Parts: sequence; structure tokens; C-alpha cells
Amino acid sequence: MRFPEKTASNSQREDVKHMTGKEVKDCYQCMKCSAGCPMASHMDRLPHEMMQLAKLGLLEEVYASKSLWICASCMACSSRCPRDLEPASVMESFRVTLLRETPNREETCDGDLTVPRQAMIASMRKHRR
Amino acid sequence: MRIGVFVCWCGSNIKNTVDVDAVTARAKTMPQVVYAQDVQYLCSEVGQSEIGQAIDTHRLDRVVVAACSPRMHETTFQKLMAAKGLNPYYVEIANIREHCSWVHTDKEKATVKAIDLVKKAVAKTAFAIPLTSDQLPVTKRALVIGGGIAGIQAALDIADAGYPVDLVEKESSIGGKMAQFDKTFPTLDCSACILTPKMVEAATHENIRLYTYAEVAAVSGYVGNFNVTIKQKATSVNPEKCNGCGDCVTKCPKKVPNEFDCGSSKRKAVYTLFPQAVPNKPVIDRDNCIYFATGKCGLCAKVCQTGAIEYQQQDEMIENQYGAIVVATGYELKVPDHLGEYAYGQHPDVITSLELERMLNASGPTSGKVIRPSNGKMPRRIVFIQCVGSRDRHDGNPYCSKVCCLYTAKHTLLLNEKFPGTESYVFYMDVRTAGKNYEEFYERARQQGAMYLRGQVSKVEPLGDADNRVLVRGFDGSLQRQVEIAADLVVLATSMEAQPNAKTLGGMLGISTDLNGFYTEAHAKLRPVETQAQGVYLAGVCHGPKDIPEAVSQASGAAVKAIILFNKGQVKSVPTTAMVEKDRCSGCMQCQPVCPYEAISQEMVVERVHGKERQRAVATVNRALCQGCGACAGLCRSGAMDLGGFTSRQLMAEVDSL
Amino acid sequence: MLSYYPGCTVRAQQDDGFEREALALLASLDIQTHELEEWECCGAVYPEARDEYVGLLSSVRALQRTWDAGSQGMLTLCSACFHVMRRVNHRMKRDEEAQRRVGGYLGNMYQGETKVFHLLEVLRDLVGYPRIQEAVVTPLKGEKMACYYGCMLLRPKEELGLVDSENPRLMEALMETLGATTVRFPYQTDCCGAYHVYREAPLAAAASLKVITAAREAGATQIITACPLCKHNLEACQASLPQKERLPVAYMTAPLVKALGGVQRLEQMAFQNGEKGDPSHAFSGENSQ
Repeated sequence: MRFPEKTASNSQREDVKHMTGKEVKDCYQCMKCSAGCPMASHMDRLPHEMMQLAKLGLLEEVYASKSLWICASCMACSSRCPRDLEPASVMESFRVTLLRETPNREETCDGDLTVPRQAMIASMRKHRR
Repeated sequence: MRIGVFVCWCGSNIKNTVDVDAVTARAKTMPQVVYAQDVQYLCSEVGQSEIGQAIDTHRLDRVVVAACSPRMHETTFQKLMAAKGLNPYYVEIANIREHCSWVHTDKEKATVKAIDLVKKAVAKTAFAIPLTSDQLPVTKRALVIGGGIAGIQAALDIADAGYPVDLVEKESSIGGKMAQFDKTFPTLDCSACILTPKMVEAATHENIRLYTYAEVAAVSGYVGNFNVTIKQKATSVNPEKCNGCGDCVTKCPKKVPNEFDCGSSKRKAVYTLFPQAVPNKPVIDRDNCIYFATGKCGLCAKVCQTGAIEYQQQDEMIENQYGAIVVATGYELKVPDHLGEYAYGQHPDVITSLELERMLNASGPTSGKVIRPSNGKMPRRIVFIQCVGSRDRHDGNPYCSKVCCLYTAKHTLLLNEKFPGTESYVFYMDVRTAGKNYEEFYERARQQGAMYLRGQVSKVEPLGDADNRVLVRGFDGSLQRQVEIAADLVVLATSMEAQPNAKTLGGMLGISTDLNGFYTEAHAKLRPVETQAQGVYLAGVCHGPKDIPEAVSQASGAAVKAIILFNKGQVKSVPTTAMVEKDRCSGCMQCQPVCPYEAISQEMVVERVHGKERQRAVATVNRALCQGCGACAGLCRSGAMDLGGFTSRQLMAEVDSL
Repeated sequence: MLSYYPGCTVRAQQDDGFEREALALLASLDIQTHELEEWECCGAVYPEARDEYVGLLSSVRALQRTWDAGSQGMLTLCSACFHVMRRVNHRMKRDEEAQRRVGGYLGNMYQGETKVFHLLEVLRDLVGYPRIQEAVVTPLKGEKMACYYGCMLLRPKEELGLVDSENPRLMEALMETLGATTVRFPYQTDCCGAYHVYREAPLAAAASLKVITAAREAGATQIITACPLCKHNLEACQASLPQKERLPVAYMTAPLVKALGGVQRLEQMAFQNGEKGDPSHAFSGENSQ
């Protein structure tokens, strides 16, 4: 791929840092997050790619990725990251940013209503719909 | 008084951040300053002669240099002063580089700060007093702490130069970690074959005295004249009587895990560390000996034909004087059970590299065969995981252990050579091969079949299958997908760590440790074997992760430093010593206990009070012993104690100037 | 006395027996519980973004109420409730900004004083294995248990600190106390797919099936868990399997209750304990449904 003329500004990176308390620039791409991610096979961008994109300031690609909504915050990556960067929290901060920028959507119950309530509430909270 | 101020640009180092013209202009207006000038490089020959000429032309008697840290060039400028017939302590340095230009970006504010620093220096030098140093004799005997390859090399070099050396080793034999290794990279020569000749040479050298099973207990004194207390632990075996027959070891009924084999074999409570141990005399491990626990047994004493077993032996404290100390205390390997995801200690087939190294070694627990600890069978598929606890800020050490890349390549080569048919997979983040012939060695490992996968392993789990294998779950950066390998054996390249007692020993020696517990060198580039304590030098991994050639080079460097000191035969005493103003001293002697160099004592002075003569006790400083730390001056309540070069008056003048 | 926080899932699925078994078990082992008044949902997920404070409110309210009740701590059964409560509590202890903001809204100054317990923790730390072993009437012979923890009880280890997050042995120790054997298997600490079952069921099924398959291959005869959602996912993913290939899934309370003589016996014992003990002792609250 060719790099776009303009990557994320430092202030956008600062926003991520503010929400997670972590500096994504510090990632050295050991790929341990992708190695253990139970959702990896359903992702269009693997966790380490998301970290790399965030690090390079290619935030449009981050926001366009389905992976943001696939990550279930199981924290396997966060608890094993040798740089202590908590990829799960980084994912969450991008998800929250997107949700904040999207006008409030109506709450719909479009899923399987027979599942445990916790799944329903969690799913709604994660997608805020 | 005529003070001259010289402001250095240090090329662009200072000039880009500090307005040197403004500083020079402002300096001219400071009290008692008769001359000020800025120069591109004050440390250059041109710069030196500019100062020299100015001293002559303007009849300067004090000089203020606004430049880099005094640690860099204080001596340069002091020599210039001496050459001009002025006391070397009439030069004062304002550090406007490390303390100013390097740490600031705002030029305007940095200039204001630089002016303040110069102001301070000018005020201080106005009250400078002339200081001198004496020549002190040097004890021409060296102490080397640590009998690994670094310590052995340093001891041999100093001894070969003709000076006596004492080598202190905490284990019962010298040899260190290198004695545990099988082969060495990048030449694959046998570790013992190149190490044991040096061990024997050290033991038989006429200038070397070995203290094995001994530790340094206390250090006092200073460069050229250290007093060291060595604790010789009781070996319970009289070395004079013991003929090394080994009957005691054979008969000893108590078996304990053998540390030398990382616990994968057993040794007896009376034991020699390894077959080629030097000295080759057993010791009794009192923590595990039945006799010492219960008073019964005594089998070793019964079978010993020479009567060498001496249960009644006591630990002994030996005091010696040394001129120089080489610290070569080495390292420990981190036990990787803190990284639960790698299942070390959870599954027997997850082992450390050193455990594999011991298995590969012909005198190791398996006599050179590589087996799976769980069932004793040969592994077919072996996974190596790199950077286990290294470069890991979350759950390990932040630094690179430096040797793992190469020894893992070595392991894959040895396995391939000894046991064709085994498969080696290496999960890595970077392969670092900065060393002579190292890249070629890594290439050879790959060519011979080691499969390198770029990506860290996330989890190692027992597979629960019939063979009791482990599932290694990682990621391959080239395939861009998760990979899982069912492995027979997993080898963890675990992190090198500073000795747990490094800080304590460092405290005794007056040398500091860095954040990771490794000893700090005097200068990262230009004084890599010296420390902040004069006469104390570093060799090997106690200073940071190193491979064998590096440790040996540094050891020779440290040895040369000691030899230089002995050749000179004298050291200059510290000129900035404490001074007592006897009239003000109340003789409370509070200064005496705080002095770490035992330089303060009491003396009687005779004075006349109301026409009567009477004696009064006051403190006095032995200038040869005083190292100028200033502890006494800070504590003295009557203000009688002062520190040359940093008198209270000078310091107050600095404060007042701002 | 522990303040019992049921949580929506456990209460809504009352019929599955988890709550009844857990409370009967504790009462029979002399652990007194009292349902917290006016509790509300914990939010089901911990607000991971550090600048989100609204998500902390309902949990802090429950934690504050537990503190006000003067009880020994808060008892949770559901992994998610435990996870959220423990992490919120951890944060309230350390994050002054959160204390200020949440406190400003709720009109209190909560600084993480409450202790949050999970049922497993109560059994391990307050009851103790020896006490449980004494209570066993029917040892579990012949069962090979796979103990599945799910993420919520494990990570982040620094904040939860319940078990060794990479090699947990708590449920194993408990099951071995009952006379059962346990198996170790890959994916034991992996995610079951969690809430994805609501809208992306195949995604959750794939994750759960990995766990089930690994446990079965390691020789397990049943798999137990402490989490209602994990249990649901582990069961749902097996729906398409032929009956004989399915691995039974149970709450970790089920084998415990079985070994200790059945839920009715335990309730009877609990009732007797209650008679001679504190009259206010109750193990099934009726409020806040």
C-alpha cells in the first residue's frame, strides 16, 4: 500500500492516549496479541495490524475495520503484551470514539432474545444501539 | 581579584539553544569580571590558547568556564591553570550544556538560565581557596570478585604482569556459568576445552591466590588502599589432607537437586561442583547434610582415609589490603515461571535454554542425550521461544539479554547435527547478530533447517493427548496468520539478570547499579570498565548482558586499568577534602561516626582562657583518608567543618548571586 | 455476613438452579448472605475507555450500599458481575478523577472500601477446602472434569487477582477436594465468544467449539464453569453435534452440590443452621426482581 499524504495528527494520537493511558507508538510488533486472539479468524484486520495502523496514524483504516466490533475484550492480548500496551483497551477507545461521533441510533433488539441477558446488554453496550 | 569568563559554543551543542553573545555580554557586567569572551570550542588547542593569552594579557587570577559538565573537561582546564602558575582550583565550571542547552528547547529562557549559571560560578570562584593534593602509596595487590571466565581472565592478566591477585569465588569451584555450557558460538568449540586450561592456569599461577566458597563481607578504604574482609565459608573438608579420592561423595546417603544441572539431576550433600572443578576438593553443603541437621550419620568422616572431614570447621573472616578491585560477579538466569502463558513449571517439557544446554553436555544429567523430561523419550519437534522475560516491560526485564539469539541458533545446529530428524522452530521478534561471524552463524542455522517464525508466542498449553505434548500458539508474520505447533519440547530463552545481591556489594564498593541492577560504568563510551569509585573496575555480565568474547575483552581491559595503577605506584589524594576550623569546633565529635572513610579523629588543642591554659578536644581530618564526600560538613552544628572547593561561603555566595 | 448481589442474568435465569445451589451451598457451610437492597445491573461490560465515567455509576452505587450495610463484602455469582464490580472497585481505589466525578454525581465519596467476592473465592478463602472435604457425602469418582474459567474471572490479572490467570487451579482444587479428577486442556483460558452470541452466533460458536473439542480430546467427561454466558455458549455450540459427541456442561455448583448430598439436603442443613444462628439470616431475597 502507498501511504496517504496525510496521516493522523498528533492530537488524534493524543486522544487515543488519553482514553487508554497507553502510547501505541511504543508497539514493536511482536504480534503476540494476534497470536492469542480467539477472534482473530473473524477479523479483517488482526490486532497487531490495528496497533500498527494506529501507530502509523492510518486511523481511517482503523475506523473502517470490522475488527473493532469483533474484539470481545477478553483481554488475552492486554494481559500478555510485553510492552504493556493493552491492545484491547486501544480497540475499545477507537470503538468509543466512533460511537461518540455517530448520532444516537434507536435502540433495537435485533439479536437472539433467548440468550442470557448479560450477552444482550453487553452487545448493546458495545454497539450502543 | 580579576575574573575572566569564557563561554563555549560547543559547536552547535550550546550555541543553537543558548545565545552565547548575550551570555558573554552579560558576564562582562558581573562583579569582579574584567574580561569575557566566547569561543567555538574551548576544549580545543585554539580554545586553550585563547584562555592562556587572556590570562597573561588581562592578568586574570580566576577563570570561569561556561561549557560542558566538569566530568568532561575539568582536568583539561585545571592543567591549563597549573601551566599558567595558578592554583588548579581557581577555575570554576558553569555547566551550560548538560544542565541547560541539552535539556531545553526555548532559546530565550535557556539563555536566561545560562546567565544565571555563569553568575553563580563567578560568585563562587570569588571565594575560592587554593587546594593541593598529595601523593599516596598504592598497595600492589589486586582483588578480583567472581571466578567466572571474566574474573579468571582479569586475574590471569594482572598476575602475568607480575602483581599478586586474590580471586574470590562464592561457589566451591571457579569456572562460573561458562562451565555449565556445552559448546560456544560461533565456532562451536567445546566450552570446557577452552575454559578448563584457564581454570588450571589460575589455580597454579604463582601470583594468584584462590578463595573459593568465599564471599566479600566488607570493604573500606579508597583507591590504592582498600581494606577488604573476605568471609571464607567452612567447607568442612581440610584441603591440605583431602586427596580428592571421592569416597565421601560416593558414600554420602543424602541426595539433593543439583543446581549445576538446573535441578535436573541429583548431587550429594558432600559434593564437588562438576568433574573438572578447580580446586577439585569436595565441600559439605551444611544446609542439606544429615550430620549437621541431626548430629547423626557421619559416614563421610568414617570412610575418609586421610581424616580430612572436619565438621567443627568455622566460617573465617580474612582481612586483606588491596590497591585495586575488579568486580566480575556475573549474572543469574531468570526462572521464567512469572510468564504463566509459557507454562514453565506447569508442564515438564517446557524447559529453559540452560536446561537444554546441560542436556547437550556430555557430562550433564543425560550424558549428552536430549530427552523430554516428562517421559525420557527423544523429542522430535522442538519449539524455541525467544525474548522470554527480556525486552518485556510488562512482566520481565526491559533490556535485551544479547546472547539468546546466537545460543538458540547454536542449539538448533547442535540438535540437527547430533539428532538428525528433529525439527526446530524458533519464534522470534528480531534476530540480533551484531558480532564477528555471528550473522554467518545464524545463516548456517537457517540453512541447516531451523525454521524461524517472526512473531511472539502467546500461549503454551498442555495438549492432553496420548503423548502428553504441548500446544504452542503463535503467529507467523510472513504467513500473516496464527500458527499452532504441537511440540514435544519447548525451550525458553530466558532473561539474564543481575545478581540478587549486586546492590549490596555495590554499596560496599561505592559503585552504583542501574535500574536493572547492573553496575554502572564511569562513562558509557569512553570509560566502559571504570566505575565512579576510583580503583574499582568492571568485567563481564555484572555490568550488563555480554557474550564470552566481550566479557573476556572487558576483563583484560579491567586488568590493564589495575596494572596501570600499580605501575604508577602512587595515587593523587583528593584535594577537595574536609577542613576543620579548630576555633569554632566544639569537639562534639558527631562528625566522626558519619564519616564513611574513618578519616576523622579527635585531637587535643591547648588554648588560653582567662589567663589559664587548658586543653580542649577538637576534630581533625586525615587528608589521606578523606574522599571529600562532605557528610561531616553538612552535619557540623557549629559550622566548623568545611569542604575544600565547596565551602559554605562559596555555596552561600552562589545562592546570594541569584 | 456477605451482601449478595445477584445480577440480572443469574436472577432472570433463576430456573437453571445456579442461584439456588450456590446459596444453599454457602448457607450449609455457615456463610451468611443477605441480598442487597435495590441493586441494579452492573452494566455487563467494564467501561474500558478511561474517560467514560457513566458506566461506573451503577456499580459504585451497589458497592457503596454494600459498604453502608456494614457487611463483610459483596458476593457475586456471575463472572461478569464479579469482573465489573472488582474492576470498578479497583479503579475507585486509585483514580482520584473517577472518585471526584462519580462522587459528584452520586453525592458520596467512594474510594473502593468494599471487598468484592466471587463465589469461588468465598469457597476457597472463607470456607476453605478442608471444611468442604469434611462435608462431602458422595465423592465424585470416575468423573474427569474440565474446568473452564472464561475471561471474566481471569483478566486483567492485576485488577482481578482471583487466580493465576494463565494457569488457574482454583476449580481444579475444588473438584479434587470432592474426589473428582481434572484434565488440563488447551484453550482453557480462551474466550468463549461472549456476547457475540446475541448478534453473531456463529462467531461465538466457533470460539466455544474450540474449547469443547480440546477438552474432549484431553479426555474430559464433563466441563464446568462459573459463568452463565460461558455455559450458554459452550452448550449452544454443540447443538449441531450428534448426541454422543456432546460434552455435558454444568455450573461448578452442580458437582459440589451433588457431592455434598443434593440441594434439598443442603437447604435443610441451612435451615437448621439458621434456626440456631442469626434469625436475620436469609439466603433467598425476594426484592429487586
